[in-house]
Amino acid sequence: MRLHRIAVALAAGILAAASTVSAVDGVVEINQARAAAGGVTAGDEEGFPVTISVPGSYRLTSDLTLPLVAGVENLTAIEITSDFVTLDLNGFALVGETNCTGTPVTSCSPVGSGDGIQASSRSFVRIHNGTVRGFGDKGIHAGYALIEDVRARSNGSNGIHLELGGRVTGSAAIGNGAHGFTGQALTVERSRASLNKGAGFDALSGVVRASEAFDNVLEGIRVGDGLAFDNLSWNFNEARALSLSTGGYARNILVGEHPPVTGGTQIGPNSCNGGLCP
Amino acid sequence: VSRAPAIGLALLVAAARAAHGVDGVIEINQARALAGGVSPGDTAGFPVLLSVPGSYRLTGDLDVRGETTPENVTAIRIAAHDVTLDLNGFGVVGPVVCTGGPPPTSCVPVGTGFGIDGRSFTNTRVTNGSVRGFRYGVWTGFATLDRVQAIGNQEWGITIQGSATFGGFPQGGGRITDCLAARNGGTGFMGLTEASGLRIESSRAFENAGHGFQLPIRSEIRSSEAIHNGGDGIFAPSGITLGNLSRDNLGAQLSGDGACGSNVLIAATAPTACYGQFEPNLCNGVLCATE
Repeated sequence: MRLHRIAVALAAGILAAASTVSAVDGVVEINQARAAAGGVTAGDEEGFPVTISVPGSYRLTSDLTLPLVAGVENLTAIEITSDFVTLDLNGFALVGETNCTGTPVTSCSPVGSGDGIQASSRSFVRIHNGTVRGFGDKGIHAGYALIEDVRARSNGSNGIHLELGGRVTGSAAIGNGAHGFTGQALTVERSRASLNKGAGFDALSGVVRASEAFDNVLEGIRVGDGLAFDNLSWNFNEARALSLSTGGYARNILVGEHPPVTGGTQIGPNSCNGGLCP
Repeated sequence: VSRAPAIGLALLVAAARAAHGVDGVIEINQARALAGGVSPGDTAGFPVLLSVPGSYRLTGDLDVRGETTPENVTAIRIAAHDVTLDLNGFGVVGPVVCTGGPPPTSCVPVGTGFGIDGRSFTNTRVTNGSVRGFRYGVWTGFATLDRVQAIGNQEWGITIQGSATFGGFPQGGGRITDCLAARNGGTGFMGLTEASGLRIESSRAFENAGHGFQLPIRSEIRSSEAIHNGGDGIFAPSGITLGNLSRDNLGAQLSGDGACGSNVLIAATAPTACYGQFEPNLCNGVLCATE
């Protein structure tokens, strides 16, 4: 009888453990139902934002869609309040209600204070593999972060904004209400920015490499005193395809109605409208 | 109800045997670290010993801070060739805290522990997570590291010792891509002598108290950034330095006798490029002088 009770208790305990928000590989799972229920981490209340307050590894298991309520433009989907968080969007999307229109973007509505992912005071955050679209302010707003394979689209302000810098690879920022990618000491590689209302890549003191900028309202690529290398930038608006202050550039293909580059020093050949840049 | 004992025992057995994930990868977490038995010879507690070639994965943070004198505790010891370790987005966490600066001026408590110690073995792969708060963050032989963050370790963040020979053939250092070493008390990325041939790409060293990147001979660093480190940004005694940004480091931005091209070097004191510029480099906004 005693064995029976122990076994039943063990079974109940193990089944209870299986029903927690951690997947079989230990990663904490987040989906629409769990966002609504709260308790993803300590301090996470019901509804949005989902609060991630503990270092560790997290994964979406569905899209997270903001509710269609008054003031939705001020809602944030995920707020990260700890350093050392890895968030795998797992191919899913964070979805808000903001829509940007125009080619390139001329306006976004409704705009507000909500971000797709808000981690602006945190460092060593890693976000990868998914989409962030339709938020009233920024798609991703972090301190120091590593971003991989993320698409930020139709957000009211910047697509991906890293306050303290970091690295972005394999990502895209399309049709956002301000810059596509922005941050100090930011490095962006193998990424694309198109149709944004601001600059495509605004990486002052940083690096843009092996990336593409198409038809953004402001400059395609801005690197200040940094480095632009192996990019394609195509801009038929007033702004230049590539803008630098004292930085260097090499092996870029630059196209535009105006001289497609301003400032900087060539440290290798570049193509301007089909010929070598002067 | 009569089948409950059998079900319970079956679940218990399954849980106890669950060191293997559903995909056959051996899973490691805090509980399993404390229990031991992750691989043959692995005793209870730290370090977790990986004594068999194969694929391992963290399923939670590993944290040694609860140990007695945790500063002397190594979290994971790799004791076989051909080990793949997926940190799975988790952290390996030690007790060291670096303060001051940046770059940091103090990292305490001082100890002997490694986050991941695979010095004597080759063909190691470590991926996708952070190692923070140890004497040394990650220290491997010939290895491939990607998406690893080494932060706030007392001395070197990521160290590649290399393997002079394995099976009679030189192995060199391996490859580091998309990694970060930040706010460590020593050099961010350290390549030791036998790691010649090391390649570092798309990685960043910032605010380390030592050099950002210290490469062994005949190595390559490209598409990387060294920012505000206490020593040289990039120290490359030979080999190739291509397309990097090195700025505001307290030592030289780029030092060594290797070949270099398309680097951007920025500092309050006018930087200089390498002796062998095979392409132009930029020093504080103008083409670097040729030696």
